[in-house]
Amino acid sequence: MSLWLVSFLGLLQGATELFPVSSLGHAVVVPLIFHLDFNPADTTFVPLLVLLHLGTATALLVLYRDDWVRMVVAFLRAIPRGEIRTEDERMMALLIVGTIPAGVLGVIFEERLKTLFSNGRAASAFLIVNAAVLLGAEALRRRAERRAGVEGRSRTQQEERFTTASRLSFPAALLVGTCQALALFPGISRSGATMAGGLAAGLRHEEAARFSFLLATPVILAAALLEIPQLVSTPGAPIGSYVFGAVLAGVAAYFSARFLIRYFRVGRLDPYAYYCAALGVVGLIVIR
Amino acid sequence: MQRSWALVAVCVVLAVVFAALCVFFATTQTSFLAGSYARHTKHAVLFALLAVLALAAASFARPRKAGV
Repeated sequence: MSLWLVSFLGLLQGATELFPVSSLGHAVVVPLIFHLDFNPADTTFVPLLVLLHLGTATALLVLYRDDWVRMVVAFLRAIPRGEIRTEDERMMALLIVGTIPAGVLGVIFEERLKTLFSNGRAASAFLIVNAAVLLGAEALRRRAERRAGVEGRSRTQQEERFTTASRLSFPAALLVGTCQALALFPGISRSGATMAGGLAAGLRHEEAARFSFLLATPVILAAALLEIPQLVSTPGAPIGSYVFGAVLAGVAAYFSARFLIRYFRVGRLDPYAYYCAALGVVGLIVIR
Repeated sequence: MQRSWALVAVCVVLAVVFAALCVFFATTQTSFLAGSYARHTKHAVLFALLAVLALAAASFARPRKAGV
């Protein structure tokens, strides 16, 4: 695999992991549309995918390092006490509850769903489904805004009507976390599904994005770390260029996350839905 | 959900079950809850984590002492 292709895939992975457009869908569809020599289901590319995910997870850890340190320390103190008192303790508990469904479903069903990874037409179809999920979430949000009487007000005023992540209920966190499991299907965006779940649970857009990124971190990191034995057992893999790709993925993910948090202060999911629908349609037309 | 010793017991039993499943998946070739017949390390790690979380949940389920 050439260095430019590794670099391209690194940047693609890093950006699309956090944008609500499905990194896995792009990894399947884009190479097929542009006839690139890359099949994510091919075992020789597992080390690359492992390192790209490590790069992305590292970027998220760096971006939210202060939050993670505070939350983990706080929660470890709360366990022997047996009581949640602070916002950091509650947030960590919510993230744990939200991570469980994706972790359990991912481990149990990932192998069976892997056969879909190399099917470009299935991924294209799921990209269109992803678009429908995002548009559906925004339609529900707009209805909630009408009911709250903030339709027609500024976006900032509309967003203030909704809540922050630390005020989610535990059943709502479980629901949002279950949405993350939908990303097992290539074409369904992890961040898009969790953001849609967050909006349905009454979160502000910015808070839904932040909660989505925090939820994604342990799942992406665990998936990458657990694949490291495969990384070691694939002789001949150009680890040096793969590491370079991982660094690019991390850089792309870091700046993507910062952009998206700023964007979702007033932005909506609709533009990403239209993009996914368009890419899905192109994929269905071009890929045979 | 109300704190109670019954809930604590349920969490502890779950922790034991998860720990047993962890050992099972770490030591036995199986296709149970998996897509292939092999030893599934990921499943073992998952159930180890779930066992730890169940014990943490048991701590949060303990009834509070009166007046505290």
